[in-house]
Amino acid sequence: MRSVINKKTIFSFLLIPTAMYVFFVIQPLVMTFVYSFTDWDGVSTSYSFLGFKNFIKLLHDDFFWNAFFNNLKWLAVMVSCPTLLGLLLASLLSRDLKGAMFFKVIFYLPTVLSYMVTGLLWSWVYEPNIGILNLFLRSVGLNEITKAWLADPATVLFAIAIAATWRQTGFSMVLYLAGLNGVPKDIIESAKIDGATGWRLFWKIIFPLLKSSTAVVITFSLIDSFTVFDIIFTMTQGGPYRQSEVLAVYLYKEAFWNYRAGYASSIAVMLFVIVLIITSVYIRASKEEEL
Amino acid sequence: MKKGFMVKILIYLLLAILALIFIVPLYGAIAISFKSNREILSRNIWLPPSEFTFSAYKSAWTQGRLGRSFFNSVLITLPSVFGSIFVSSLGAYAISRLRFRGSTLMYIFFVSGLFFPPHSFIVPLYKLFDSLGLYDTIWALIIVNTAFGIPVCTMVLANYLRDIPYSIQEAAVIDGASHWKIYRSIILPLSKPVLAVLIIFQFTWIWNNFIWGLILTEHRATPIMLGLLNLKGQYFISWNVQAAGSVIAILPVLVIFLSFQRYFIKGLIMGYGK
Repeated sequence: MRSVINKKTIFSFLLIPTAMYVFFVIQPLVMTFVYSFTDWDGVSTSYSFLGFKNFIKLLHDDFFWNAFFNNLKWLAVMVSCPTLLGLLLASLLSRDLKGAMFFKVIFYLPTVLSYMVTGLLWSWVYEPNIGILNLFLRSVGLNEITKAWLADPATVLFAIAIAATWRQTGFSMVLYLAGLNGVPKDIIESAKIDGATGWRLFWKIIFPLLKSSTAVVITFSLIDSFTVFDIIFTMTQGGPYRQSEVLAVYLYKEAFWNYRAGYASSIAVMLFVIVLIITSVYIRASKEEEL
Repeated sequence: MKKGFMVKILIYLLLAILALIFIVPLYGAIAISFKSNREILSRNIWLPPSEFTFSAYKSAWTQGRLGRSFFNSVLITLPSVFGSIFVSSLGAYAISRLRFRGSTLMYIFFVSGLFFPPHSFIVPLYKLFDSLGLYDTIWALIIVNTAFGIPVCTMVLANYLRDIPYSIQEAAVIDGASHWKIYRSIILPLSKPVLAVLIIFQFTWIWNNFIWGLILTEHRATPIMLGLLNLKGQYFISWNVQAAGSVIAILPVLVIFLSFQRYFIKGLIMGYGK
């Protein structure tokens, strides 16, 4: 039997977290929506309401679509590369292997670094003259494919995404390791008796059992792909020629460099809505799974 | 038997190559950071230093003002870590232990913040802290990091507290103990393992945070990641100084990671694996 809990007790526990959350998280979120309907420049004390003008402008803004498509390109790399590499590493390291812990630590290590530091470290890797990538390519006689990786519009976004892959792989590796741990041994044994081996065993039997790990890894990389900012801002600030400019970078520049806080807020609303859609799809899917 | 042996060799080879690629950027930062100004210009910068000097660290720490940022980050991170966990533990207690009508709704309310993109907040947050007179103070960053830590801490704590059996507190209730007393002397001590995981994770996230420092500080309250960005601008040719700065910036999280590896893995699985 639990005693009756009076309302005052409940209220006293909820007061501080609710007040902080409402004032510093919910309130600013509401204000983003409010500003998105204004022409506010971010510094003046007054602004006027424009209705949906910012959003209409957004739909005809080439820079907005450029940033949006850069997010999609980024997403294509980030959903596949760290996921597959993490899966590969997890399946190699989940067997009885001497030194497995050592390798796990090496591959997980970058995950604790900030994206800002990741960007800094990789800008030395990509430096055209003395960066290690070009030094390596020259030393093996591949002179013709050396490049100024971060200054070349064709490679910049991909190069940064590889750096982010380095940072992110350990995350999916750990989740897949946990998933593989949960695969019952007798299922594998009986599949082996039925003649499944190697690739077939992996793709037909084991991989489907890792569905929930895959769902988590992909959902978070989808969300991360739309909120990416630090690493790009550190390495290129969106350049050259906006070739690595994603929505968050564009929104930051509009707000703090170009004094278009109202317009920037409409980008912020779009960003919010995109992430909301991804999240609700994931939540719905994972609920159906449980039923 | 022989085939199994070959497979093992191949696996080790693959792992070794990948590990080498993974370690290069970090190795580079450490090697470059110990080089003198002369050496970074004359020899292949990726070779180990011919002699170790701390001059780059000195430049980064003093002229580069990274010492100041480091200190700011300590002052920001510690209160934010404990603040966010403490504040969230109150809400989590109410949600999971008091079970009132609407507690699920409160849970969703707090945890939904996990999915808010931080960049959707930058304009109003800048405005808010500017009008509170807290722009470019460590208070702005303590408050923001605490408030934005509420979703994840509430989620983890509420899930953990839900699984503590109610029988544990029944005796205390019969003795007339208040919920504040139960919270403090029964529930918190029982939550030690999850609190440890949260402390480590919150520390890493807040220490590594970039965006709040970027929009809420100028030059007085700059946290370490922004200090590093400034260093990059100021010493853009002196890679050794930038490298020393990066090593300084990652040292605290590296130390924590290497001493609490197990908690990291456990925490990840607790947070996402469900």
